[in-house]
Amino acid sequence: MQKMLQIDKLKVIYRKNQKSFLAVDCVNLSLNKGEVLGIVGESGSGKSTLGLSIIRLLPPRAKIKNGDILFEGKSICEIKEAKFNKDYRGRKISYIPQNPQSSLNPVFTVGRQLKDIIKYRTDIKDIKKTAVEMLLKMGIADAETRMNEYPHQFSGGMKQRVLLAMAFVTNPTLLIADEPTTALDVTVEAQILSLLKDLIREYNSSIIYITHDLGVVSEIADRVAVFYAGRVVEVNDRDNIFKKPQHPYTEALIKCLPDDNKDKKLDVIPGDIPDLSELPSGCNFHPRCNYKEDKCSRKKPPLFDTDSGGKSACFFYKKVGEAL
Amino acid sequence: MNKTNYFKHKIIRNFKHMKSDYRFYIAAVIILLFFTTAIFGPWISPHDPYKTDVRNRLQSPSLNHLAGTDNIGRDTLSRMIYAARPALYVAFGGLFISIFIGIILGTTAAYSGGIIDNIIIFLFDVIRAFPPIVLILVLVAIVGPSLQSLIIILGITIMPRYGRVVRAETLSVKEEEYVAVAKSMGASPVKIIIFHIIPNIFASVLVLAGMDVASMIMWEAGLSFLGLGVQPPKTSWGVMLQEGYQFIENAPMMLIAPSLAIVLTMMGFSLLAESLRNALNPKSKNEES
Repeated sequence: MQKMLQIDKLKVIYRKNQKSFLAVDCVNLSLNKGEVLGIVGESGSGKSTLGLSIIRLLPPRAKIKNGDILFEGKSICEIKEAKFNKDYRGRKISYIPQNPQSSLNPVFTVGRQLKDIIKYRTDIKDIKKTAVEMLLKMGIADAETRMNEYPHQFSGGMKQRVLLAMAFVTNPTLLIADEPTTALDVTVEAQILSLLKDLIREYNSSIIYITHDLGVVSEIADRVAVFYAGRVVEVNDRDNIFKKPQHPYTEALIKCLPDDNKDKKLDVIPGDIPDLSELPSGCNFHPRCNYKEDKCSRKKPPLFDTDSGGKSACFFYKKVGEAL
Repeated sequence: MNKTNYFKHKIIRNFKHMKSDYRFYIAAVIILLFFTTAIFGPWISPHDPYKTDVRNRLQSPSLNHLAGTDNIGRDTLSRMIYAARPALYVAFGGLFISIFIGIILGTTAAYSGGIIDNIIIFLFDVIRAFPPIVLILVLVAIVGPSLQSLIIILGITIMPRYGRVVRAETLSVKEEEYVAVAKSMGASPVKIIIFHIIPNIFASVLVLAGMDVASMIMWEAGLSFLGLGVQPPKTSWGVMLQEGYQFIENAPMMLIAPSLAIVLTMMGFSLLAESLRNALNPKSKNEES
């Protein structure tokens, strides 16, 4: 079956002071239509870089070293910049930013900014009506008056709703959500997530949901990819990931989640994430791993197919996850 | 509609702060006077500024000639009133040209970066490397003195100031998240500069321009005094000073009147700029509230 998005051996490097940092290393991922892929990882594990390389907005010092991104069967890297800007960004691929507070231009009204998107990125004729309907759908009461207000008159959650409206109004095939709820407090986060779930059902868009919050992923994702130091360490369906993780890192992450037993101290993963310019030899995770053996520091584990239909980058994936 | 609304709010907010500032009132009165004089000069001047009357030359102030007459009997007050217009043209025309070019070059430099940035900065540096008076003298010598060439030359000479400020502000605004979002929605660079960058940097340009009005008026007077700006018999405060200083012992009003006009106008615009800077400065706002 034709995959909607196929990321093939993608390798992105950052250059800084003559040193290069491997931000994304040999990532293979694919996404079907209507599927929600959650990408989980610590800060600096390359998940945002992956998102930015899909809409080709990597900062100038970052470069796709090799590999390819196929969107609807076409290589994104080969489309001309002007055409990509006109036909893909905002039309077929939308992006929801991390920090709603600063993501709207402070000098224009919210309505004007939403109407601009409708005007330049869709073929809808009745711009004003669509804008109002869109805001109402996002749960903004009194949309008609609030259209004429400025971003500083909106709360963070409201702004995120506006940004969701901007992302969905073009009916995109692919939506990249880069930690859209990280800057919001927990109650607002829950509201936005349930709104997002409704929207996904309605628009049938595929979504790459980037986050560091396993709770959010369990809420929204169909499939989960776990990132560690620029590599995918485990991919599987959501339920399998949480029931039986097959990579020591995923297992450790799940153990770190708070559970009902209040007296128990929270688990932590010992050590730090490695410096991307000086990655450890062999498996990136081996210095912090409970399962490590001699061969982990010598050989990089490939992605093994696991019994549950996922993939795991661990030599001992069969042993992992039993204890949980 | 929305844009004017936004500026209305902002102006009201700043105006509230300025209302408590006595400098603002003085400035407002002087500037209003300057504008009225410049616009309605031909209707309010008591005499024809070009009509000579040799029998009544070098007169002291009288009821008929409130500021006396000059060496060929022209009414000094009328000439002073007529001279407000070239001052206005030079101040605002020159500023408009420098802001316009400065914004185009500054945003282009900051937004594109790399070699284009270096070339434009080099251009700014070349212009700034000359002392302004030397550069203006050379350019006037090439183009020939007239009001129009003075406006254009001053505009170009002052431009790097704006270019640099615009470039610096653009560098910070272009890293804002709303610019990144606009990019992710597929906005073209021109659109990003016009809709997202320029409206957000305009406030600082405006403050700088407010401070420059006074110095532009001074430049006009100075260059006209040297014979490089407005040419006699056309009148300008600089031209009047130049004519007046030869008769300083017999008719001091010929010198005092235009000097007073220059001093007052410059003071007016400087006070306004000062008051504006105070109102727009968030630090001074916190101190008072």
